[in-house]
Formats: sequence, structure tokens, C-alpha cells
Amino acid sequence: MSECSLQFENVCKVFGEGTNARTVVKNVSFSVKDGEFFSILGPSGCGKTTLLRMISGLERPSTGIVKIDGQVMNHVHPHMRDVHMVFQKYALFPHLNVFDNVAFGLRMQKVAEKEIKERSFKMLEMVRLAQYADRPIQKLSGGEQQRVALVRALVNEPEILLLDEPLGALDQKLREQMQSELTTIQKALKTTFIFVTHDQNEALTLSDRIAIMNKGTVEQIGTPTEVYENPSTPFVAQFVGAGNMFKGKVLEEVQGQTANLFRVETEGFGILTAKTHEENGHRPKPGDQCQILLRPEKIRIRVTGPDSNQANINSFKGSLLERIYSGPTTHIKLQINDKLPPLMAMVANQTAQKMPQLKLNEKYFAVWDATDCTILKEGTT
Amino acid sequence: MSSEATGKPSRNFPFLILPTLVWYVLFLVIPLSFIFVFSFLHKGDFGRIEYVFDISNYSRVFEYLYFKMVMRSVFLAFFTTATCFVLAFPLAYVMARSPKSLKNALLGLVIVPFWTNFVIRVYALKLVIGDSGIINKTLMGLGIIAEPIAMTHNLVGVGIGMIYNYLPFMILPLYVTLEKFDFTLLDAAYDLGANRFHTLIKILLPLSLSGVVTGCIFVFIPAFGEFVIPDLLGGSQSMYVGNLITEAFLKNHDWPFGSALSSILVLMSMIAFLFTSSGAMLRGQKAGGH
Repeated sequence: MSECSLQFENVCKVFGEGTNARTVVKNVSFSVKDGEFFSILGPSGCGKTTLLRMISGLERPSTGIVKIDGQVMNHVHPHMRDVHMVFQKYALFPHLNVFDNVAFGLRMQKVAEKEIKERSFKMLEMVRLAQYADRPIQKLSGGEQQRVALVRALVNEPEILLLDEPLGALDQKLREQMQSELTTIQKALKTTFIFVTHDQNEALTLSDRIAIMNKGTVEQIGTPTEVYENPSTPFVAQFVGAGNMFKGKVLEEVQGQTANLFRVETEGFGILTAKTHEENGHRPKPGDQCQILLRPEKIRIRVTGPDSNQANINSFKGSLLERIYSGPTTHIKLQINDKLPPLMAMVANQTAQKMPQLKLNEKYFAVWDATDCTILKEGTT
Repeated sequence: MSSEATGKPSRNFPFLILPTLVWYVLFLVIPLSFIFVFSFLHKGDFGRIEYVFDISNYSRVFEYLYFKMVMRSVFLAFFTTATCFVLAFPLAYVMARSPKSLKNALLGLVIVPFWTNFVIRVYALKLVIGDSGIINKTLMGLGIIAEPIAMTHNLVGVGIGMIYNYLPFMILPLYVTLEKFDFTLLDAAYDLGANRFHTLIKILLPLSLSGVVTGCIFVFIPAFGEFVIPDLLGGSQSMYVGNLITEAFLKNHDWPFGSALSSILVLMSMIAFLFTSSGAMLRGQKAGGH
């Protein structure tokens, strides 16, 4: 077994011909490690499902190479691949009962009936559905159907398990249950999971690594922390979590700091200091146009400004426009410049922290560390 | 809609079906009962019916000459049904998977033959497959054949005519079923290691069984009693039950024998219907009411 269970090399997928041709996947390259929980996150229509179908073999790449376990798989039929899929609406066979659905794949492989029974029941027990083996599919709830769909794929012991928005049809509570169940199963079986979703929270919670897709290209691949804390493009910044965006022009690099800090002249917010990430392959030059991301929870609200004018602290004064209490946090809007949208901040409602009594229309300072706001690389928008 | 959800018939139930019920009793059940009674009576002179019990009408059906025609009709109906199914299933599948606009266009093409009269269509077919029809003229003109290929006045003509006429009755129910089919189930089957053949046998056919059964009934039952197509396209050899019945009633004025033949035809159709539909019901119940 090679270390990479899946590799995409410059894969493109074009649907249609001539003037009707639509490029759905554009020059995508990435690799997934053995046993990894890898998510593909993106808005609907970004090509993520097509990507998944190319792994399963239900679609063939127009150009480029798809490798599974080191083998080029471009022309291998889906039924010959050691890859199984959990479909969006489960695609369980309605004329078969729970057991026959789970046994379907093993029967196609001509496994002995005794072994089929053992393996299927072992799997059904794992998801607590063994007592439902004889039930017709229609008699199961959404969550139970979802588990049958999962087990129907897993019982074949695939090299890679593909999951196409499998939790989309479940209600919030059930979805959270299934999320933890999925991680438990993945850790236990050590199967490579490739999980497609448009739900950023789901991707952040479940994944070892996330690939963020937009308009057919992969914008960033990284751990949940990396893509949230250090998004490389404006699209990633806004798709994964909320944020304040500033437009500006790079002035100079701040010397004598461990992080890569730059001073940036922003439109409407004056000069602020922000960091970049070398690993994003991005190093701005003075004079470059850029966008800066600041997550709302990085902002501290102060009655007075910072003590000294430190180079790595940003501080802006504005009037309190809105204050919404929402349990663990309070959402705040601070108007810094009348011509621009207000700054959005989110502060934790800790008892230990002495919260200033915030009053509407009073002036407050929004303060944050330079290392908490990021200069982004231009990507597809 | 609440009545549908609870599975109880609507309160309007008897009133809504009453007109049709009266119509069917008056014009189907009563005449058929007459036919059934006639089949046990004796034929008198000049086509009159003598009210004397007579079982000989039925025993005549099993005489070699007539029984051969019954069996020939059974064979023709089977052949027509099977061929129509083989031709219609792939077409209905392609139609069901086509984009909306193409779907409607194809559906229109299937329905077009119904815009003209059945007999006209059969005659029109003669212009194509007849001895001096387009096919033979073209082939002879090109020098490929010297003599016309006989496609009328024989079994070939009957076969072509039957398939041509009954194909839409197979396509439409199949299309209606496949149109509602969730084709991701086929992806799921491929993904789980089924090849195309297994996907067809284990998933597609069992799940479109209701359409298959309806199509087969729609074709088999009328094909069994068909007499116009053999009359127009077949030769002297092609006497079928349908032809026999028409002759008994219209030429020989032998109503009791015609009635006996008709009763047997109805009975055999009913057996075929019950057999296929009960099979489908059983499968359906197993699938949990699908």
C-alpha cells in the first residue's frame, strides 16, 4: 500500500462539446493520504460532486490523471474500483430489505453467503441496526437509512470511502449525532474518507484536511485551523467563516519582527498592520493592491485605546451601531467610517472578563493584533 | 388529500364512479354475459339460436383445425409482446433519461401514429413493405435483388404489422415508469461492483416491473384477438382466433360457436392478466408497497 491513497494530477472535466462546453473541474491537483478524513468544501455548482464522481469512476476526467493507491485509474470502470460511495440521498434499493442492501456489493463480488452474513451483520451491529435486517428500506427513518447507506459501502472494505453530502437531508440534531458517529467509525476502520460538503462547520469539525473549491478550481488545501486562521484567498476567507474585509495598498514590510508583518494603507480605515503566510506562497511587494481579512472574534472592544502605539497592534475608534446578545457571545457592529460597512466584532461573554457596559452610539476602540489579520492572495472570485 | 393519507376512500367515492360503472355494466358485462350464455346453446337454421343446451361448441374449439388457430394466436401474441418489449425498453430508457425538451419531442413521435386511423396505417404500411412498395422498388432499382422480397401476404407481413401497431402500447407504460425512476440507483449499483447486466437484472427491471407488466398486458391481450392485421397483411395461411370469430359471427352466422371462441379468448386473456399482475403484486408487496 502506498502512502497516498488518492492523487489527482492536473485533472480537468469538460461537459458538452463546442460552444456548449462547460469546464466543471479546472486543472485540479491534490493528494490524499492513506487513512485521512479529507473534505472537499465548496458552494453548490463548484464541481465538488463531479470531482467525487471521477474518483468513483462514474465520470471520467477529460484530461489529467487520477491515481488510486498509486495506480492510474482513468479508464477503470466503477465496478472494478476498490472505492465505494455514500450517495447524497442514499440511493438505497427500495425493493430490497436492509440486509439485502448491505449484502449487495459482497454478492456482486461472489463472496460466500456465510461470509456475507457475518460481515453484513457485524457492520449492521456497528451502527446498531442488526435488529432491522429484515425491514424494508421505506420503514426506516432518515437517520437509519443514512446508516444503512454508510454500512452498505463500508462492508466492502473499500480503499477509499466517498461521501457526497451524506448529512444534507438530516435535521440539525441528527446531523450532529451522525457527525460524531462518522468520525468514530473512520478512526476505528482507518479507511480513507473523502467527504463532500457545502457546510463549512461540518468540514471544520470532521476533517483532517479540507480542500476548498470554487468555480472548478481548488483554492486552498489545509487543516481546519489553517484554512480558518490563514485563508489564502478572499473566497476561502469568506466561505469558511465570517469576516471583515479591507481593501488596501501595501506600503512596506515591518522590520525586526518574527512574523511577516506589512503596513497597509487601507481604503477608509487608515494604516494598519497585517501578516502574510509564507506557506501560502504569497509575499506582497510595496505598492501591491491587496485584501485583508479580520475575523470578528479576534477583535477586542476597549473603552480606551492601547497604551503605547505598538507596531503590531491595530486600534480603531468608532461608534457602537448595534449590539446583539446571543448567549455565549455578543455580536457588535462598530461604525469606523461612515462610507464603509461597519466593523463586525464578536466577543465572548465570559464572567471572568470584565465586560465594559456597552452603550449604543458611544465611542469605543476596536483593538486587535497584527498577527490576527491576514493579507490575502488574489484568487478566483 | 387527507383521505389519501389515511388510505380511506373519499366520501364522493360512489358518486364519482357511478357513471362509468353503469356504462360498463350496460355495455360490457351484460353483452359478455349474453355471449357466455349463447356459447352453450345450439345453432339453428339461418343463424338462429335454439335455446337447447349444447356443449359441442366448446368441443369444436379443440378440434385440430380450430385449436391450431388458437395456438397460433397465442404464439403470435407472445411473439409480439416479447419483440415489442425488447424494442421498447431501451427506447423508453433513453427517453426517460433525455433532457426535458428531447423527452417531449420523442414522446410526441411515439404518439404521432395515433393521429391517424388504425386501418389507414396498416394500408399505408403496405405501400412500404408490399411487393411494389418503397423497399422492394428501391432494392430492385439498385439491382440488389431481381425479384421482390415477399413481406406481405405471409407471416413476415403479420409480424411487421403487429409490432408496428403495438409498439406504442409497450413504450408508453414503460416510459411512464422509467420517467419516475431514480437513476442514481444505477450509479449506486455500479459503484457496489455490479456490471451493466447485473444492474439491469437486479435493479432496473425489478423496479420498473409495474410498467413492464402493464405494457405486456396492453400488448398481449389485444394482440391475442387481433384479426385486422392478419387479414390485411397476412396471406391465406394466416387465420387466427380473431379471424375465426369474425367468420363465425359474420359469414357463417354461427353465433354459438363464435360465442364459445370469444369466451375462451376472454378466459385466456383473464388468466394471462391475473397471472402477470398477481406476480407483480407479490413482488410489489415484498418491496414494501412499491
